[in-house]
Amino acid sequence: MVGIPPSGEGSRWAIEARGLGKRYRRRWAVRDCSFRVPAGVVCGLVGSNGAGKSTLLNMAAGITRPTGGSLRLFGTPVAEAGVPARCAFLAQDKPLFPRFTVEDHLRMGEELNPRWDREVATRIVRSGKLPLHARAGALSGGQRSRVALALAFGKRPDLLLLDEPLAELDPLAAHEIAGLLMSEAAEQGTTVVMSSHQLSDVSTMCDYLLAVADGRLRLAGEVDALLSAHSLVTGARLVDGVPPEIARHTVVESRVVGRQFTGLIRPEGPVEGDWRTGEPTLEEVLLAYLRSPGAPPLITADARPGDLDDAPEVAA
Amino acid sequence: MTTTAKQDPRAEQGKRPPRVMRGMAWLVWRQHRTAFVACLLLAAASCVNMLWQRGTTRDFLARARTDGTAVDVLEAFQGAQSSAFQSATWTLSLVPVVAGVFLGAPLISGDRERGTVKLVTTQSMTRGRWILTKLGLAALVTLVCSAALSAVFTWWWEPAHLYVNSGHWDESGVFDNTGPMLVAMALLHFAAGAALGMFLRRTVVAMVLTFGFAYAVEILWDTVRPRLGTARTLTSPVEAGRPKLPEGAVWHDEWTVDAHGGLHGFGTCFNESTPEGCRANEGIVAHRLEYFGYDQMNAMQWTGAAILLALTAAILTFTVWWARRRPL
Repeated sequence: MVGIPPSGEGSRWAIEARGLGKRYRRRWAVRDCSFRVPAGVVCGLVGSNGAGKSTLLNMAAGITRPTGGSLRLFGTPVAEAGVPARCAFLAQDKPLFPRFTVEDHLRMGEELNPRWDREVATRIVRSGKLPLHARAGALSGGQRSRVALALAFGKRPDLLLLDEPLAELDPLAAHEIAGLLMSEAAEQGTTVVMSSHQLSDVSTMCDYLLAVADGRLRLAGEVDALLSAHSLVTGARLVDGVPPEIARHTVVESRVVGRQFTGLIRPEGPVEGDWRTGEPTLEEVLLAYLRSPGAPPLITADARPGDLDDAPEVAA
Repeated sequence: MTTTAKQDPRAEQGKRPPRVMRGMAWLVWRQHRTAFVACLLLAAASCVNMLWQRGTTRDFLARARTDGTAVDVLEAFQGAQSSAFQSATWTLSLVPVVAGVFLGAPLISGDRERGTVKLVTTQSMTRGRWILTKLGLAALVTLVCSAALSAVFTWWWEPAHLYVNSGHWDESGVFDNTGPMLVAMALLHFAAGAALGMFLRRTVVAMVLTFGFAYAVEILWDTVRPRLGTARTLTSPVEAGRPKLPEGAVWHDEWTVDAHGGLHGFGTCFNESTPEGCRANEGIVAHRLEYFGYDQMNAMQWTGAAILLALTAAILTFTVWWARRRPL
C-alpha cells in the first residue's frame, strides 16, 4: 500500500490542482483549474448552476476521473489507494438506502471503513433525536442530512467534500445542519470544501473561497485576503465610460446609476481623485466576478500551487 | 490491545447480533436480502416438490413395467405423469428469466437510480471491490438455486427419460433444464441483466430489456442446440423400409439415397401412385436416418454449457472493467 505522510509538506495542502480539466463529450465542465486549499480551512465553492462545482467535487471524491491535469489530496494523487479512506463525500441529493434503518446505515459505515468511529456517528444521530430503527425512506430532509453527515464524520475524514449540503432544507433544518457541520468539523479538525449557491451561507461559514464560472476558476484564496484586495469606489460621473483615474486599476465591474459611478476595483495603488472608497462585502465581490466573465481572475499567491511551471504530471 | 471498556468502541458488541458477514458482503446481502432469500426459498420449495414427484414417478414405472409392453408404458405415462413433468419444465424454464430480470437487472441499476452508488463507492473500499462483491454474491445465489433445481430435476427425469416429452430429450424442456444447462442459462441471463442494468441506470427499463434478451436467447438457442453434436446415421436398403431408431435416440433428419450416394428429400416418390417405379426412375436405393444417440446428450449439454458460460464470463468481465473505469 502506498504510504501517505501523516504530516509534513505533503499534508499542508488538502487539495492541490494543476491544470485540472474535465470534458464531457464536447463540453468542458472544468477547464485548466490550478489552485490549492490549505488543510484546516472551511472552503466555499461558489458559482452558478452548471459552472463546474459538482464536477470539481466529484473529481476530488474519486467519482469522476479528470480528463487532464493533476489533482492531489494531502500530497497524494487522487486515484491512488488510501485516498478514499481520508476523504468523505456528501452528494447533493444525500443518497441513502431507502429500506435501510438509521442503524443499518451506521453499520454500513462500520463495515466499509477501517477508521470508523462509532461514537462520533452515534452522537451525531442521537443529538438529532433520530429513532435508530426508522427507515431512511421515512426520514425528513433534515434527518437524512444528519444521517449522511453521521456517515461522513464517522469515517473520521481529513477532508470533507459537500455538494450543496444545505440546499432543499427548510430554514430551521438548514440552520441546525450548518451548526452541526461547523462544530464537528472544528472538533475533528476536518478540512471542509462545500459548494453552495447561497452566498449568505458561504459568507457566514467559510474562511476560504473558490469561485468558478463556466468551468474556469475566477477567485481563489482566503476570504480576508480576497476582500482586502478589492475596493468599492463611488463618485460623480463626469465622463462616459470608466474614468481614467479608475481605469488605472483593475476594474472588475462598474455601474452607472444616474450621475453616480460605482465600481469594484482591485487597486494597484492609492486611488486618486474625488472618490469614496470602501471595503466591499463578500457577496458584492462574488456577484461582481460571477457577473463579469471578462474580468481577470484573482488567485491569491497563497492559493496558487507552488512549482506550477515545473509540474511534471500534466497529462496524467 | 487493551483499552478500557469506555474507550473501546466495540464494548457494546455483546448486545448486537453476531456478525456472520462482514464488510462489503454484509452490505450487499443486507441490500438485496429480500430477493436473495426469496430465490433460495422458492428453489428449496421446488426441490422438495420435485423430490416428492420423483417418488410417485418411480412407483408408477415399477408398476407399469411389470405389467405392460414399452408402448403401453409410454401411453400410460402420458396419461398419468406427463402433466407433472410439463409443469416442472415450465417452472424451470422461468429460472433463467427470474435470474436475469429479478436478480441481475436491479442489481446495479437500483444503486445508480437512487444515487447510492455514490454513497458506497466513496467509503474506504474501492469501486472494484464493490462491483466484484455485488456480482459475486448474486451470481452465487443464482448458481446455488439453479444447480439444486437442475440436480433434483435431472435425478427425477433420468429414470423416465424414455417417456418424458415422448423421449424427445433434444427439445428445450428437457435439454435446457437438466445437467449443466440450467446453471449456464441462469448465469448467462443474470450476467446480461446486470450488464444492462449498469448501462441503463433505470431499473424498469433494464428489466424489460432483460426479458427481451431472454426471448431472443430462446429463439437463437433453438437453432444452436442441434449443432452441439454430430448426428449419427443409419442407412438401410429401400425395400427394408425406414430404419428403426435405437432406444433413447432422437430423430434429427431423414433422406433417401441413390446409388451414387446422392441425397434426395425424404419425401421423394412418397406420393406417387407407383412409388417403386418412381424410385427406379430416380435411382433411389436406400433410406438414411440421422439421429442423436442418448449417450451423446451429456457431451452436447456440456458443449452448450461451455459456450454459454464463456459468454457469461465475457459479459461479467466487461461489466467489472467498465464499472471500475467509467463514472457511474
